Amino acid sequence: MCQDNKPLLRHQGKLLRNECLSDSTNLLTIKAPEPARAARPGQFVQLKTSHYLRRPIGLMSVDREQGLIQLGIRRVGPGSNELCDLEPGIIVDLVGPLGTGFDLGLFDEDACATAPAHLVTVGGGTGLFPLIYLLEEAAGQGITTTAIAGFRSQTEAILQERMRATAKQCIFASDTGGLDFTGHAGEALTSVLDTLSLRPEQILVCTCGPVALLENIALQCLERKIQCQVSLEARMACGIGVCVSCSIPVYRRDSGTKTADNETTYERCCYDGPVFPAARIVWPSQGGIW
Amino acid sequence: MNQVNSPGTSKQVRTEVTVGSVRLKNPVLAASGTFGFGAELAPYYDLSCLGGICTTGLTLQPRVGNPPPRVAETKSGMLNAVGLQNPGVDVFVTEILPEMLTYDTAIIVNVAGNSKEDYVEMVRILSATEVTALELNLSCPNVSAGCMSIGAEPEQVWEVVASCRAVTDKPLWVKLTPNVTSISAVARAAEEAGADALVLINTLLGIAVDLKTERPVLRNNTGGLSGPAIKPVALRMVHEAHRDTNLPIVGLGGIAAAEDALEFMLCGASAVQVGTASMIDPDLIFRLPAEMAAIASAAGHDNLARYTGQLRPW
Repeated sequence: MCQDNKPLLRHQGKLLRNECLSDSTNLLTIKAPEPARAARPGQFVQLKTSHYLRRPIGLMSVDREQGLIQLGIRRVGPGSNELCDLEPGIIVDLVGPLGTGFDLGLFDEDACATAPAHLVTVGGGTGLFPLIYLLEEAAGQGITTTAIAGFRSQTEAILQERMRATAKQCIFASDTGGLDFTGHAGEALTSVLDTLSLRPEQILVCTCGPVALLENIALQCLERKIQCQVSLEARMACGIGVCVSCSIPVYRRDSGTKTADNETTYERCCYDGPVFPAARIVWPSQGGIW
Repeated sequence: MNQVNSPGTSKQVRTEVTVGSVRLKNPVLAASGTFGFGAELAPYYDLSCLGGICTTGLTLQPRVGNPPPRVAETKSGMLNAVGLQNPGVDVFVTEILPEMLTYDTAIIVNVAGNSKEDYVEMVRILSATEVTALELNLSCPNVSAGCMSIGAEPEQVWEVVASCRAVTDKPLWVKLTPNVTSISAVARAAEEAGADALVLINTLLGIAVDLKTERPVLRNNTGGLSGPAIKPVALRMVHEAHRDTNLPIVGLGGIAAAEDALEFMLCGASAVQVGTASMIDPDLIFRLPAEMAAIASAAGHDNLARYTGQLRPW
């Protein structure tokens, strides 16, 4: 009724597996064939819990043939706790896939016709979840990949094997040492970019994590004239673009990167994003309100 | 489409209703601010299944809206303080409305102003279009001027509605705020000024507090409460406005099921709007007409319009 020949937006998926990745993060594997077929890296789904609003969760991986989606969830409150505690076998009510994801199409441009394209991903904490999906997609397209994942400590470092299996080069970073790189993920990116012998237009940096990290990454890339895409989070209600609650401060499309108020506006994290070109974002240091 | 064959019965139920001069194929409309302009949902649903769509609140000039956070979850609903982010009435008319007019459903344009002059100018502009009706938003709680500050005062309601009435033949619906002592007083002011229908209720003003930061969750400090929490208040106000005016009423506030919608009709609503519930279940609004018809059929009724105002108070 009312959906003849149109794709469904709301789905029922069966939770097949719920694995603990650490004390605070779980990995859910859900049988949901239609969302799995339709999904793109960087998109998310809205999960129903016993709380009033749905919870937006980024897609960590998709198996189109098996009809599976994987979601990494960090315990940050009652809603995510409930999702992390779900028992396998339960039916999950989800809306999606939603949002504008990463754009690997940038590599189709002439700049990369003469040399292999190189994707660098930078994930902070659970920000690495959506980047795994992107890395898997890029690997399938023959794009060379470097994955940087930053954690607060060695004990919080998750999914190392999976990352190493997916990316050509993998750097795990922590301020407290014990991993591949001692320092934060932004510093690891600096070191990677310093050593890559490619033209800026042959590199794409994609990042997800805390805003402070994203700003660091974005400004580095801006300075080096490297394309950068950031995946953002915001307090969200509908998730489908209609309520305009999850606003992200952006420069207007028709302006440069000046910071005057009248040249900035808000766009929807859920619909225009969650992935934005980094140059469009009004970062906190530029006066953006988050 | 105006008749629904109810599941499990052969009985036909007529779903068509009227709100004054406006005929709707069914009583279920999408509420302003919860459905955008329809474009985001059109790829997934046949929008012609709706009784109508009320647009996001429009202002004379584009508005950027309030800084984030704009939303806070509550136990049985949510607070929002979007602040009428919209592209402005001119962009709406030239770039958005043509697509909306292809949706084969009633298009009700929500009009929000800083001042009486804003409302009149927008009504003038929109009267030259093919929209079905205008919904004067005298009730948004999240902007510093106009809207709720007008809608809380019967004299100002009269002034704005009468001024708009003078410049348009379009059906004028007036969306009222519940943040008043007497809903009947503002409802009567709208009626006396020439409104064609009342829409109630908009959101209830509230605050959500973050105990860790000791600040309001919303950057705007206050926001509008919506969702199931406000349904009893909305039903009471629909009932009072129905009792104390002769205007048709479009009821909303916490509708999340067919039963809720019919309760609003019993209290006096000729049609209903679904808002916040669409954020939880985007399918809901498209299921409601048939589910309402099924309930009507099971109760032995052959139409939905018969529910309006049939509440029997003790």
